[in-house]
Amino acid sequence: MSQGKNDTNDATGGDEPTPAEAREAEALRRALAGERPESEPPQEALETAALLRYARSAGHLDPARREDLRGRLRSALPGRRRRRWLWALAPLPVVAAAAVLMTVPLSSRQSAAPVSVAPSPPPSPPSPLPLPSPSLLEAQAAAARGDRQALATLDLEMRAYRKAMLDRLLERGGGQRR
Amino acid sequence: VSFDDPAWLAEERQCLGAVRRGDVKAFDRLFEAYAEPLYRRILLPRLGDAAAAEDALSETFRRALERLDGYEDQGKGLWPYLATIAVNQAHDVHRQRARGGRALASFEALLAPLQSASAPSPDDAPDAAGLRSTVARVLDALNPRYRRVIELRFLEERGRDECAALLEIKLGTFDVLLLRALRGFRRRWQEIVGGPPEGL
Repeated sequence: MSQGKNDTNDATGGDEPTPAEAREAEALRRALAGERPESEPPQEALETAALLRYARSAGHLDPARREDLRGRLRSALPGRRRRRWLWALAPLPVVAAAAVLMTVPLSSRQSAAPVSVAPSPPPSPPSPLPLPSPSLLEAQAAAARGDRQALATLDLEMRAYRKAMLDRLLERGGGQRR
Repeated sequence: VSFDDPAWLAEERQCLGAVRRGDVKAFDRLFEAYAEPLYRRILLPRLGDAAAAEDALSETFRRALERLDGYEDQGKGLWPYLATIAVNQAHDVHRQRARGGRALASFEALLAPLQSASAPSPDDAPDAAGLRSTVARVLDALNPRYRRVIELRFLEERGRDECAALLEIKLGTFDVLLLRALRGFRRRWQEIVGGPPEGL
């Protein structure tokens, strides 16, 4: 490994780098940028860079990250671990209640409607409401465990589930999406 | 007050009992006391990367909570117990990263000559001023061009493009200059502060 120039002999830093040194400089650049270097980065330079960053921040834990960690760790407290699955299931009653609330007005509207003059075909049995998919339940469980990445997945799954629920309810009530 | 102070140990024992019953406030007190010293004194110097050190800190507390029933108070308090978990956690992270071809840079050995051997305190304030003045002393001993490169990139946290523009050099030249500056800094650090021999 090239050890570079002695800084007392390289006051301008203008010496042409050897090919090996140029490769090391590129590997260092990539490593410092968080990219995967194509060759092994010079470890001693990386360590020195980390020391300088530490000196600048005084090694403080970012307050926002500390609060985030603390919040997630609270769920790992004894007695709370067992309740985590309950949190994962918490949104389900809300979804069910929303489904009922949306169904009742539609049913009321149907029953309150004036009797049609023309005979209408007998109603077909209502199609069942969609159940939460396994992926939605998994995303809920992961989010309840504090997995932040799962929140995005949960959001997507919930959107899909809400849409499926709404479509089914509209289909049952013969309504139209506004 | 340090972590081996009798008054702190008594408070800690009370907190531990409450944490075993799921008391959030007691956990918060212990987390407040230990999170920062574990991060600053053990995890960040060993891992050299803030994100990796934060993850390791989370895992350290998680493991400690999972093993809380097996923890036996030997009169020394939680610090040695947590510190051991944190050190092991740092080793695990190094192994995982090495397997993935993304080794982390530990600067623990460089920092060691500046760290006191005493147990940290619950209100552990880093000797930030001392560390910064040491860095300044080492920078003063460096040739001005290397010093400027380090100041721009690491102390002023300027982007690579901006650094190269300010120094009126090409990006590739800046990368080489930065490598040389870091190596020069390390040599001076070892002369002035001490630390591991070059190449280790």
